[in-house]
Amino acid sequence: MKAKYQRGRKSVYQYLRMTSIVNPHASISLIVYDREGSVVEEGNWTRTSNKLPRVVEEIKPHPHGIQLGTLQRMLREANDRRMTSFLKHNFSGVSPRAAKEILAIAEVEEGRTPKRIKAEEAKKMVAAFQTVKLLKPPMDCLSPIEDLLIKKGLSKAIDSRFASTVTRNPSVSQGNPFQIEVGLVFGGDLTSDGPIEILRFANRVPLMYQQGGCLLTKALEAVNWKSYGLEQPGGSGIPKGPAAVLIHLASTNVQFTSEAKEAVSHNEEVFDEIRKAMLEVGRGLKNHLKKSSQRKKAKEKFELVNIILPEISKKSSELLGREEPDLAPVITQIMNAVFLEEVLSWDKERRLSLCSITIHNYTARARAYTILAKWPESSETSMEFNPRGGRKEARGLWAWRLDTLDPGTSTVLEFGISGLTKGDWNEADIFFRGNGEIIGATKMDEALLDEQRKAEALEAAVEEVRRKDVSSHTADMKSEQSISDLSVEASVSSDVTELVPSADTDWFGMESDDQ
Amino acid sequence: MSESTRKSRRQVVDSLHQVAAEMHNRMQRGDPPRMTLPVRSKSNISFDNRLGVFKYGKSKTVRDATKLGSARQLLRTLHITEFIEEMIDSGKSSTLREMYYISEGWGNGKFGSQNESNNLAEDLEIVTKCLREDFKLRPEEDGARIIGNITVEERNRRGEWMTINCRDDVGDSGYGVPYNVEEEKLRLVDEDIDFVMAIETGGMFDRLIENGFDEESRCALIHLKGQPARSTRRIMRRISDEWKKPIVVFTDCDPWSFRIFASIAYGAIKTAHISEYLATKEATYLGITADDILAYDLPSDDLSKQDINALEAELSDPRFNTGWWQEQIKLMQELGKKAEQQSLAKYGLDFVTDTYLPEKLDGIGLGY
Repeated sequence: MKAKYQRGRKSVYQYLRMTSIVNPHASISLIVYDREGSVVEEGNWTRTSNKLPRVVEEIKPHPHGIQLGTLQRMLREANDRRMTSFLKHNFSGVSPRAAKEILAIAEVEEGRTPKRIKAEEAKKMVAAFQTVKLLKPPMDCLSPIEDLLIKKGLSKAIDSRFASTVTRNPSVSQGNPFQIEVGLVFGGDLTSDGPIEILRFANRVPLMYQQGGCLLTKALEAVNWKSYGLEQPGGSGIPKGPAAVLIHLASTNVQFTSEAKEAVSHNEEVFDEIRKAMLEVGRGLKNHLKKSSQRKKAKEKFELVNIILPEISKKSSELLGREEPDLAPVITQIMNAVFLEEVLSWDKERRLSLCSITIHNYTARARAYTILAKWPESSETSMEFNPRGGRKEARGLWAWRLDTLDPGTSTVLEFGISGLTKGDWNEADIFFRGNGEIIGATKMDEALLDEQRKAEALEAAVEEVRRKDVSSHTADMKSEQSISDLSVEASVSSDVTELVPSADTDWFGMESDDQ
Repeated sequence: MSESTRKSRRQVVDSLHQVAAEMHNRMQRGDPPRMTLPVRSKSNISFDNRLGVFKYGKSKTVRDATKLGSARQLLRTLHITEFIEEMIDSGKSSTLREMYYISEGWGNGKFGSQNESNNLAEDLEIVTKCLREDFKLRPEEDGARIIGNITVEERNRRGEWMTINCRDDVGDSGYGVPYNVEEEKLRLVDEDIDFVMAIETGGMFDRLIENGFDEESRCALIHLKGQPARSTRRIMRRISDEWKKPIVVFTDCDPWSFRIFASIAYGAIKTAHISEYLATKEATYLGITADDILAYDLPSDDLSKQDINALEAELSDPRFNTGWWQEQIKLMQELGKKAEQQSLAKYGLDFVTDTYLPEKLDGIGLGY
């Protein structure tokens, strides 16, 4: 076969670059030679994680996503003797009770042999699938990349200052489990004059063409990026600025617009999930930008009182031949605020991610605060070094109560986290409780914190019931009942948690900027 | 301004120290140091009836050390003060540009740009009511060129007075006006002219000289070199005061030229603190006017966006708040056109001296 080797953005190089981003565990290198043997294109993306992706579980189809043809084929090929066992063994999410219900509605006797079911009856069954209440399909069939690894993957190909990532909880559309992951990187080497780069993936496969016609792009365009700090000429469309956005759709059934599998076709639920994920990373970006500008302001003030003011004092005193004035009251007047600065660093010896928070009280009054910090809590991380104690407030949120801070004094709060590697944690969110503003920290939004606590409690309860169910396993009607009851409850309250994004992203203390 | 209005060295240093003292006193009281200045914009200039020129009004602005930028300004001001004191003590002077480079050694007090150092020197003039000559600071740009039958005495580098006739003792480039044109440096001795014509562009200045216009119409020609330097405005003011000769101004017809005239006749916004020394209220705008574009059917260019904005700003500039100027500005807005002095060459090289200027001068009673 003869072919022309295409270079550049829409070809091999870009495909490998994108592949490397969603496979942080892989090292990929590309060297292309021409006929004369000189190198014409080169790329090298080294592994940034030693963690392999989770091995996915195969699942049976869920009745909600079944079409007539598929059902007929399954019936033909079935070895079951009875329809009840056919439904139970070939589908996910169908309990014995649900199987009976389906058959009753479709007017198919339970003891019929699957092979003998007629087309007319199969049609009725497909209709019945939609009316009967079913359990959701299991979600371990999906292979999400997970936020931390998205960060690492992005850092492999793009040099940026800031990354905000979200892995949404799995969801279902027409019986097909799917999961959305989004990563946004900002600043650094990214150019600011053009539209942002969009990196689309379906089940870790790069989608390189038909960007405009793709659901993933459309969901991104539907977000009002202006309110998150990106330019968006005309108020819609692809935003401009030094940013890149990664969108990953993991699903058992990715619907494409054509056989070429270049673009994802429209689906309301997937669209909605992407939009919500975008809003979450958007909030992360907004927070980051706000912080950067606060930090810059604080830095200027420090320079003012620590460097310039003493020089003004010295010079004017020299010129006039007078004593130098006491600058403490002047500094208090100029600053007139409490400042907080945090520094994140990597302790190589102890393999700890350290966070050091300094609080200066430049006001004329004594101040008392509780300082709260967000940290990447997970099964692999722990609060290893924490001389100040404090307590856990919610998942990934720790609080310390400070002693009264007198005017003109400062204090340092330090903690270290194990289970991370260098560079994993590069932006901390600090909140406070107490009177008066702190420049460099956000006031804790207690209502939102409450919501999160409730959501966590509910999650724990659901988990508890599920575990019990697995251990007792026998198809006990009672426990099944309780699961479905709970999942109803969970889906109601998950409406609330959708307004309030899930726990592992930046949201504490946010203004209500959700549309 | 005569020698008597100028300040002694001691007075200059004392006024500078008052600026430092305002900062020091406030710090002693526990307040951020600051400096109080008049607002230097067109919104804060008004006509001074007694002086007949535009001066700063009552609006003050406070530059205090609550912001990093302003705090740096204060520190720089103190460095300048120290630098001036040193120059006064050692009998030296420096150019503004030299001061800008010297500031490289001032650490956190160094200037960000030359413009900044110029502005701060002006701020100090305003606050201390001194002149930059008192501070031993010289501008970089040279003053105007003059050709015409007037005689001046200038004290040269060796301190000797030399007599110069600006027609007979100079070459084609004319007499170069020094940066200091005060009594102690320059005397106006003798003249045989009827008026003075200030010209915006070098091309037109040379054209009039080649055509012998100065002798034919008995005038002195001054090349303004764009927005005229302080010394240029000052010497025009002295000629007007001491010899009572009319000053006419001949510029392009565009919004920036109007501003050149305004700074000559009414006072510049940036130097409104010394308008009474620099502005010549008797000066007349000769042309090119917006009317002339129509009357002489001159080749013209479209107004640029900046031109249009400048015209709009001039409509609300108190210096242009006269019937005649408002009419001219509005006419120009209507035409959407501007014209250069050189556009008169459409009718030949002699047209300006044979027809245009005689007609215009006749119109203001200076016909010859």
